[in-house]
Amino acid sequence: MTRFRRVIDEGAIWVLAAPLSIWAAHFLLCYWVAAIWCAKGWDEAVRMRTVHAGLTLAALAVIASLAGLARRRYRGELRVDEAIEGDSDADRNRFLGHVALMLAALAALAVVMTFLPTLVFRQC
Amino acid sequence: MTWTDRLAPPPQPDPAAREAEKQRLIATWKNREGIARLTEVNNTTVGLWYTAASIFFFAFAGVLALMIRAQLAVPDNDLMTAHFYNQLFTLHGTAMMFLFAVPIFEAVAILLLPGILGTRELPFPRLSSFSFWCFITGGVFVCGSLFFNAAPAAGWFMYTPMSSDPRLTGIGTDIWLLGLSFIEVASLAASVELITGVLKCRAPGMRLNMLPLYGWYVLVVALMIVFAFPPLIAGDLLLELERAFDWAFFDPTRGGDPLLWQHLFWIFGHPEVYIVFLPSIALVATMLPAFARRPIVGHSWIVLSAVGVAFLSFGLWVHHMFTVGLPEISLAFFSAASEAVAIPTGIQIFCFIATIWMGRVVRGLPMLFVSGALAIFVFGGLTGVMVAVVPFDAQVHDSHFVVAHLHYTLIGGALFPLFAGLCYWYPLVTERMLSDRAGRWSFWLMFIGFNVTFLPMHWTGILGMPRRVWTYSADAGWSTLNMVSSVGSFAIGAGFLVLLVEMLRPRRAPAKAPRDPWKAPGLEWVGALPSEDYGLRSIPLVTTRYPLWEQPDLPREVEDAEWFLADAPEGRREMIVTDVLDGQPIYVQRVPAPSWLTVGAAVALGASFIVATWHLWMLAGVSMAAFIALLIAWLWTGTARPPEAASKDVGRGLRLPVYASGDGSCGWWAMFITMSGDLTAYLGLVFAFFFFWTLHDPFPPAGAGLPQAGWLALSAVLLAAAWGAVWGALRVNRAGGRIAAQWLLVAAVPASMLGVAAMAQALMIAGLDPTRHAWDATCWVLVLWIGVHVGIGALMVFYCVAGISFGKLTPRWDADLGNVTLYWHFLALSSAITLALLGLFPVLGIAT
Repeated sequence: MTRFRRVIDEGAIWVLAAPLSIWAAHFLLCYWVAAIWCAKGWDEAVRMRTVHAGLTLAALAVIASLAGLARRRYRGELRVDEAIEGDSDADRNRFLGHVALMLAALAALAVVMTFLPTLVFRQC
Repeated sequence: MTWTDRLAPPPQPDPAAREAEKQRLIATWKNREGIARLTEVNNTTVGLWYTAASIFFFAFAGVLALMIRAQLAVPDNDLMTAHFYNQLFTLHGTAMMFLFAVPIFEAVAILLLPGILGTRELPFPRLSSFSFWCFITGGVFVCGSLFFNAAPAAGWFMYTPMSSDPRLTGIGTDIWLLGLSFIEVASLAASVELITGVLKCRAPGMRLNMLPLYGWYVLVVALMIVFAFPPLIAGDLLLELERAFDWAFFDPTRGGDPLLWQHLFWIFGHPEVYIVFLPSIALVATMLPAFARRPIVGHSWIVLSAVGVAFLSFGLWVHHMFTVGLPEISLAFFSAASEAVAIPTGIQIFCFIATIWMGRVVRGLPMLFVSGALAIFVFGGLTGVMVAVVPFDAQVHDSHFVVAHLHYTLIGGALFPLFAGLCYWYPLVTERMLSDRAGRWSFWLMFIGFNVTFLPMHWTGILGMPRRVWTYSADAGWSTLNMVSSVGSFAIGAGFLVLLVEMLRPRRAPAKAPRDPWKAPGLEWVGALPSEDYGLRSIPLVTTRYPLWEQPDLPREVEDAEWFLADAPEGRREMIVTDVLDGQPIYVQRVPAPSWLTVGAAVALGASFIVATWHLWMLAGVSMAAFIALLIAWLWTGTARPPEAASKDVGRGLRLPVYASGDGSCGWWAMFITMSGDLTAYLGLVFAFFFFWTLHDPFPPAGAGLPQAGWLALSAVLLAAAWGAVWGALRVNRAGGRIAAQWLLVAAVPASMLGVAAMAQALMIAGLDPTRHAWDATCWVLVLWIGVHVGIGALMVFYCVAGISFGKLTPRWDADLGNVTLYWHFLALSSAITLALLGLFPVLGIAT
């Protein structure tokens, strides 16, 4: 993909959108699994909670690797007060890495929050 | 060594040459006079009209609210009939949401964004103008229906099955569906413009880490519109098909389900709340540094929360449907997401509070409105956390508690910041200051009036008063609280009137606002007052996040024409298109001048939607044809014309191309964004398909006709061939084979049309009848979607063939063909999904 190198590799644009896209995918899959399992009565074959736990672990793993990428590739740091307004490629990268890293943290939290209900509800 | 190091020093001062340059800029950008002023496309003019029109609709919807409160002031009131009351609350919600809250975001963004980003224009000025005229046509149509006792009356969310049955709801529902679909087109057009603007049209040097927060918010919100509005358009399409042609989508006796509408509506409707809220927060984030006299605390945290809210807000839609009987586990997911969204929302508010805390706050009218906004919004946010809890929501659902909650969030989160913004940017637009005294009166009337109106509604709601009731009995015990609410509502009205009069009253004294009256850091204040129609005298290089604070010499440099595009020697309106990441200049875009074509296109498109309300299909077809003709004329004369020279000097020794095609050009981005929205609407239809699959066991239902596999296979081959031909034409043309490219393009048209015909034949042979069952209707609507898109694709292809013939499209200047190929990529994807659903899914579905 050399054509889109600017936004895919050199800049962290996609890493910005990725963590919460994983949350969105996880959320929709959890909802669909619940809707389909409840509508079709598939719980006897495979337990719904097992599927949800698997989805959650997979989502968290991908988000963790994205966070690692934001840290390593773009030098993102999880600091509270960071202005990062310098006029250089490195500053722009560090800024996007910083935002991407925090978005990964938010996404991980939101994924865990989505999973919590499956610990409470045993049936549809 | 970066591109900025290679720039030449500023030119030697030469007053005569500079004055000549200035006169050329003035002549090029001058607003049209007289009646031709209506054709103006300049963002400051269109933005101002857009803002004024949105505020007009706000005032209209506000009057409806006062009438609602008048009816509810006393028990057993018969001031108006129940039917008229239904029209009032439906139109109040509809107008506030679709004709005020969303358009005002676009209006303010069109007006301010180029200034804040340090450019002269948005990339597609005619699109802004088109969007405005669509908006005004649709808005007048929908609101005007009230005067003929024909306004929509089924609630602003238009729930089925009441709205899907023409015997229960009259023409008002059609007006709502078609009028609003049309306004949604306007919103999408503006969003495409704004996204491309933020990404590609910034001041040179403005890297992403220097992009003002307003830019981030506009980007995020416009993207949300692109993904949130299309599901509603899909829903509108299904509902109108059921109303006009009796297709079975929402009728349970024929396999449909009313809940499908609620899903599609709220997949739009909840992000909508944040689409309304975030732009106002953006205004606060822009104003706050000026009043706190310091940079915003946690700039990147605010970016994080804007992006976070944008995503999470799409996971909340079912919290409007907690009481419809979905599985409890599903409700719990949405409850969790509804609580999660409070995290990024809260981060923004904490950043604002921290900025105020750590700064040296100076007083000012805008700041007063901002403080009021924060107070009211936090209150509304807290009740939001309450109603996000399923058991609590089940108690207060559809009661006045919800009315109170939503008004606290929307008025606190959206309206008060907007009024703050009106006060703040008023001097920029009118070169006058608002009276502090009138502003304070207005604020306190509205702030007190608001709380007197809506605080008691929490109690009336808890006491059991439902929403949308025409009247109530004195025994219910709600009388006093309702009277208090009604009194308060008129105080809000009075407060707004004070502000409006102060803004509009004629003044005898000459304009006297100083440049940058708030000592703000934003680029929109860089220009001298009185301003000229061209905006900035020269387009500056930006190297800081708060340019007016950190580059103090900038206003002089801009005014002395030391930077880019200080001249318009060819007499063309121009702007610099920049790189997404670092704001490095890429090329000069010639933006089109004013034209009647855009106004005509908007009115013709509006007419086709309006006459379709009365099912006058012939007339609708004629209007649509007129729209297409005007649109083609607009594009042909105004876009992607081959330039007179390949590149030009924009100042400081920087030479830039004046044409771009493929993914470097703004047009390609606009097509990509538009088609992402289009694909989302299509996925709304796919959602309907799977929704019915979960509903029916088996799906397709037993005994249903299955699309015939042979015809579907033929359709797949033909559509793939057409797609390949268009793609091939792009490559062949680029290699210089103009005639071969034309033949490939021409061949794509019959291939794709026959492909759709084969798809339809597959359904007809199987006897699928859209009025019989939801399965049949869903299959047909998928085919219909592809058919319409193939038709549009064919028009585009002919446009390119003509372009090659007349030398508009050449092997070197081929932007049109690049954009059309992108369209066909999206068409190929949706065709493939449709064929898989029609052909493969039934086989698999029966197997399970």
